[in-house]
Amino acid sequence: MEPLDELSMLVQKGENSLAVACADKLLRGSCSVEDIVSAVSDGLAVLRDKCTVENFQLLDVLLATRAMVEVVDECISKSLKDEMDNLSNEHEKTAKAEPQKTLVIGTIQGDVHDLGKHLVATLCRFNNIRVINMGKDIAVEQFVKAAIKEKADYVGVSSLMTVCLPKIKHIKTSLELKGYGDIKVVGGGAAIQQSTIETLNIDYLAYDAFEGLDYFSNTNRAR
Amino acid sequence: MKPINRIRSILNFEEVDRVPVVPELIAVTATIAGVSPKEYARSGKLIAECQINAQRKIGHDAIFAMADLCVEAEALGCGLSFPEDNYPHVTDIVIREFSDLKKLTVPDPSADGRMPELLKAVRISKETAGKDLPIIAHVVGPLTLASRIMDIEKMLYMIVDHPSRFAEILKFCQEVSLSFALALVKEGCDGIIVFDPSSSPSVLPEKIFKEFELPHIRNLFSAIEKANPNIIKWYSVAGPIQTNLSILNSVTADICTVDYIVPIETAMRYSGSTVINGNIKPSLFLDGTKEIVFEEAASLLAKTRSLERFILGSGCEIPLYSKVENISALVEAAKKEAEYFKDSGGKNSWTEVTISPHKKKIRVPVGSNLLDTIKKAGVKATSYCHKSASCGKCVVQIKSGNVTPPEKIERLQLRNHDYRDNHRLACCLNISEPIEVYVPYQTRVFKHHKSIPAKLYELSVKNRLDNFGFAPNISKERLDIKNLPEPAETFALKKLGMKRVDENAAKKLRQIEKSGHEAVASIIDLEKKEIIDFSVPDLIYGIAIDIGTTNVSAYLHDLSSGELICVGLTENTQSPWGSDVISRVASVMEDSSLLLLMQQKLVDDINSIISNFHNDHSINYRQIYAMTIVANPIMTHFFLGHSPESLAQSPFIPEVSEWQSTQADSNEILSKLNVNQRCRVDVLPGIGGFVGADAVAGLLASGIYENEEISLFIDLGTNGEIIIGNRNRLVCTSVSTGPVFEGAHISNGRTFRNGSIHIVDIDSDRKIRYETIGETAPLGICGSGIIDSTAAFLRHGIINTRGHFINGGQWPQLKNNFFRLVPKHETATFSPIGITSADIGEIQKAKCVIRTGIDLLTSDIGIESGDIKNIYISGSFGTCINIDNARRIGMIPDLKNAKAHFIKNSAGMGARIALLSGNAREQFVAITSRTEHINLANHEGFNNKFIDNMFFPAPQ
Repeated sequence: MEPLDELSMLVQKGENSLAVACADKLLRGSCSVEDIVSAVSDGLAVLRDKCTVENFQLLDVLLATRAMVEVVDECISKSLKDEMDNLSNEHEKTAKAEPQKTLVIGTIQGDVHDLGKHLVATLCRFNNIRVINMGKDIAVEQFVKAAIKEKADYVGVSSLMTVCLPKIKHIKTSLELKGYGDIKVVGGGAAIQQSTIETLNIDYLAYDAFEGLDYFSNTNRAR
Repeated sequence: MKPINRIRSILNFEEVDRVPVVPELIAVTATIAGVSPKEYARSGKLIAECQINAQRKIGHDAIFAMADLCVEAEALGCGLSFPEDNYPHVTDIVIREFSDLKKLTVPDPSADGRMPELLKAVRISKETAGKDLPIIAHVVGPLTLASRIMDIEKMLYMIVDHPSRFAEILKFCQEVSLSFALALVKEGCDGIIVFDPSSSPSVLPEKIFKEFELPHIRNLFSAIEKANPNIIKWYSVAGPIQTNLSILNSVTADICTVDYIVPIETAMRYSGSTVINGNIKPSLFLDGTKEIVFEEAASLLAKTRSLERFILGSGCEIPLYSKVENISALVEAAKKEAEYFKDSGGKNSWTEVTISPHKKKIRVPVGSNLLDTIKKAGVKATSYCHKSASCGKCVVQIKSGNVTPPEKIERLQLRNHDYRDNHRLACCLNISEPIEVYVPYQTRVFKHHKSIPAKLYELSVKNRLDNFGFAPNISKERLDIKNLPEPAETFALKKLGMKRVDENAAKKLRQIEKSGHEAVASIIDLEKKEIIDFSVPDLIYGIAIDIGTTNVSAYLHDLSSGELICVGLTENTQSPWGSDVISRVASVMEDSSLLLLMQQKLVDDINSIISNFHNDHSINYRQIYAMTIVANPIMTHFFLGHSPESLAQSPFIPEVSEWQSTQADSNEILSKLNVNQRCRVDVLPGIGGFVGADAVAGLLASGIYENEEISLFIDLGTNGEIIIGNRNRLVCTSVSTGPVFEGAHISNGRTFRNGSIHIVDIDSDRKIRYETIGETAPLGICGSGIIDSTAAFLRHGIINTRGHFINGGQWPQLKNNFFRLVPKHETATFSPIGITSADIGEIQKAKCVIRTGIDLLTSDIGIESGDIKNIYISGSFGTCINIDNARRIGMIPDLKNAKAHFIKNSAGMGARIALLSGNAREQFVAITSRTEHINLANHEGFNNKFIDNMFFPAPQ
């Protein structure tokens, strides 16, 4: 197996320490940071193809993501640091290119489920999206303020609790009122999946983390 | 009917006036009463009052003494935040590091956190409404508790990185849930619901659920049941459990809640004796209308009506602030449905079935199918044919009561099985009045599968077959024989481009022509360019046979489509002349008249499988036109009627070493095969004296001879074959392992079939877990189970590296050199099942022989174990052999970089490839001529290596 393929495979299987060791070896050899990043993303891409709405294994995705984060944190950022010694920004560790898009993401007020949203944030970070991770139990006005301040392209809102759903529809309304209706609101999470785009007044409903990522990557804020 | 009777009746398979309705109403009962969720969560009195109040408004059939999912976490010291308008959540976890676990103690339900309030909620509910309403109290599942007292992300990583630590945490959580549950039971609740959202298949893979959580859930339920046998056991796990429907049966709950994502029909199909509760989308209660909910409920009831055992409810908890009218719509729908059904005369007419010898009575609607009824009553009955009256397995005896007389198809089946008048096939009967049925032993117990529907066996053979192309040697062509201008056989030859017609076939054609048929199927051998038969029915079958020393298995294919029709297995009846090949050869050498008998035995065994195919799948054996045989060299000799004497002595030159193509009627004994007389029989060759065609067929199936990477192929049977190599070179050897892996020479040993224990594990709690094929009570233990047990013994220091039992005092299961794995009350034999020290000795020898073979072979061809990239293991128990355990006992080397592949019955697969593709022959012959055989018996290093390998590896 090609060493880079092996790295993707290790990421895909969530073998974090083996993946780090492998990436480390490759970087000492002839591989560039870009090669590593692309191999790591390939690993995740394979995994995404296996995930469907009916069969989404959080654990598998989580482990693969962890392996990816560790490869980046322990190998790539170290290597980049050696190279340029000037990249310390959390959001820019992944690649040299300047992120083009910004996502403000959080779990809606009243809900403390953090895990799925955290996963989306990590995935986006590694796909060259600047992520402002607000955390959990976030009120509508906090979302709106942050989105405007950070010049966000997207607001990602998550909920696992049905009871919190009614608050979500106010995010878009509030953005529109303040003249930022072009910022797209995207929902995700077990409770949100039961509802509809219309009821929630959002632009897009992502059934899993990868769908969300696709949307962020393939659409543009209508400026 | 009172709600409590309604629920009890549904659980007891009794008649109900309408489908019970139990939505998971928790703190929404507070918002219904205008109480804040915060107050509700903190007061047992309020919980009881709100629950009862909501029930009076809505009219559902059970109430929950339940606050939220944080009660246990809080009692363990977690900090909680209580929002005014929502459920509380954990703000401060108690397990930050694994070492924190030591600081925790199981809470006292009468004193810690809100546990006393919940006990109060049960007490008050019981006092106020307990006569009419079932009171369901609540605990969280151990895994869900763990996810609350520690960071869930860390928890998930821990499962993977430090499983033993996680198991310890989980065990503690189970103690917490159980101690709370027992207190609730003591307080008088009617049921316990275990909420376990963190175990959802969208969070955890099935494997992890089964390994970690499932045993705890089962323990929890069994302890609760012990405390009060009448308690209702309810399990609620959210998410798409269609990926793991065995949850429904395996958690041993009375009721399981199924989420809205799961199609109800799917859930009902897998529910067994568990009652399904579900599964309206929860958000509909919040933002839908009562009309929508009513419609959804009615459609659910329509889907489940014929299945009866169902409780209408929500797929998950009903959200706070949901509308009362939306929830009430469920009850309305259930009432409407009952009325409608009554009007249509459906539900009024129930009747009773008594099932003996189980003495079970079950009430069912008139018109219910008897087989379904028996299964509903929790009695296992064999049936392979999906109620199509074609397998003849579900035979029952009607003791009293009238039933409709059997139709022709059923009579035929019964006659085939020699049953008398009052015997019937349960699947053919619909019940119209009270009857008593007796379910005989052979119907109750899954007999070791003599013939199995094909799909169970359809593996990757298709993939491999694509390499060769579907091109059987035997094929059929339709021939129009109306108004022929010339003699029919001349016409056929020309038309089909064949060289000759079999004499008998020609006669038959003339007869067919005379009898006025206009068309006929001509069966042709493409390789020999011969028309071998003409036939009016135009189905043609081929059969691939793997003759093992212990078992004979057969695979029947439709030769026109290639489709696998059925699979059969039987014991090799040569066994009275020795359980291994050498002793059988010795018997024949002593008494040469036995040679014919040995051949006869194999023909008998094959015939017995074919007659099962005939009985179970209506296969006409005259339509079997092709047969391929793979076997070890000795069996090959026996099958062809050749003396294997030359194989038993140096220089081990086989009498038969070429590919043999013959016909059934070419030999007196082979002509007794239950196949068409003109059936083509191909006997595949082996390599050298002791590596049989079965191993070569395995090679063909594995494809290792095509790859660049070096692979190790092990065929575990009575004779173990070891092959190492790649597309450049192949080296093989054969070792005699004895029939240990087939379960022989083992005190409770059995082959791989229903009733055999095939997986064994002893966990860190010293709890013994095992799995039986067919999930029946165990009858014995098969090869993989023996390997598992030995590995577990080594891990726990029950045996030392010499294989002797040690630490006797610490294991109550270990007495007189016998380690009991299953106590007698759990077995089907009524005596304990376990492993003796003599058994360990047998395993030791067998594993040693294999390992020595591998070691010598690798060193001979100058490769290191690290060069091996793939390991293929095959054998009749090959599918479930645990590779780690095989390594642990030292049977295979510790190859960290190698992938392990299992090929179930690779020999059979190779035989099938040879049957379905004429092109395989060339490849097969090429492999046999290319593979170098090394005879280990002459190897100088053998003895030393053998002694080294007798030891089990020391603990790492």
